[in-house]
Amino acid sequence: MKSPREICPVLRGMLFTFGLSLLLAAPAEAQQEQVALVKVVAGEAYALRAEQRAELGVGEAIFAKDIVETAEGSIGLTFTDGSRISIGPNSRVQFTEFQFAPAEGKLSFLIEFFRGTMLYVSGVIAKLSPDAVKVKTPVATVAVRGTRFLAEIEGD
Amino acid sequence: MLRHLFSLLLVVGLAACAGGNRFVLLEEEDGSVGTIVIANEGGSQIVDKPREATRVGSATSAPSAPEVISQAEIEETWGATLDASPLKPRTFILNFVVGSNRLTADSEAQLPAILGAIREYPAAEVSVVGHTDRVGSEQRNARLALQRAEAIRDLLIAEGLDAGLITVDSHGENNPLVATEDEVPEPRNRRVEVTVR
Repeated sequence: MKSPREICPVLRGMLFTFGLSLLLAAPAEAQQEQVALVKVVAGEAYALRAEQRAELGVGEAIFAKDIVETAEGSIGLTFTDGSRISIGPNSRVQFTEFQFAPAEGKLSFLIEFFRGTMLYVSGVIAKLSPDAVKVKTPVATVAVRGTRFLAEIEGD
Repeated sequence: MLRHLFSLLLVVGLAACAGGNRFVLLEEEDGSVGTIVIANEGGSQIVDKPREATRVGSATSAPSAPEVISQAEIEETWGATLDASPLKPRTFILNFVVGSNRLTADSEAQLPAILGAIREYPAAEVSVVGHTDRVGSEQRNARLALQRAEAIRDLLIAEGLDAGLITVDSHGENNPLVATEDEVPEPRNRRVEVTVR
């Protein structure tokens, strides 16, 4: 049995290793690519990611799988392929999948629109591969053929 | 009494119908009109005329036949949403003097306009994307397009554009302006697109 004093360096070592592993893990997180940037905010809008809820401001990044929601406010985003999505009050949308790498033939954009009002304006993904863009809602799925459309979903 | 309750329910029910689940096709900003297809377990509906709307009662009931709705109706439901729409991105197409890394005079003359456009966009970003025609292998073209894009990025930075706003990418031969068969030379497809958004 080691004395407490002998255990200390061991514990410190473990703590250091643990800390190091956290640091090393961080870049993987940071490397997650931005898919859109907030361009317009009126009132308040929020992003839900990694079980955190953060208020969004102009210039902030949106990542794949983010949920964006509003209560009284509205928000507009421009995606890296030039697609634009804005939502009005009491709305909730998730950008479940976004891949924009034409040189590698990787194109997909899956939007899950749960409730509220939304405007979608297509970008390069829809132009290059119309089948790659889908908007899923609780009542129907929208296939997009290079266009601009509005949706209203009552939700629950 | 029961009858009153029934009429009340009917009124409330009708009021709910006024909103509900709707999908409305709009004209694009350049005036062109695309198509949306709304589908669920009950069926599917093509909407291909501006301001045409289809309603969907539930996941198992077919979308309704499309009907044109008024601009006022659109404003009432989607006014705030439309107001929050970001500016349309603006794309500048730059071409090179054949067989060189030099821009054509016309393309070079566009550089000030690119720098000017950036000031119009909140949280502006600039994507610089290289493209080739289909002569040569896909991998070689992906590389070549990237080199062209990097040359333009350096030029924009030299002109005073903040390097932090720029992302560089290559679409190789996979995003042509003019569709061609493989191995066909097409000067219009050899380009760099600079998009301000």
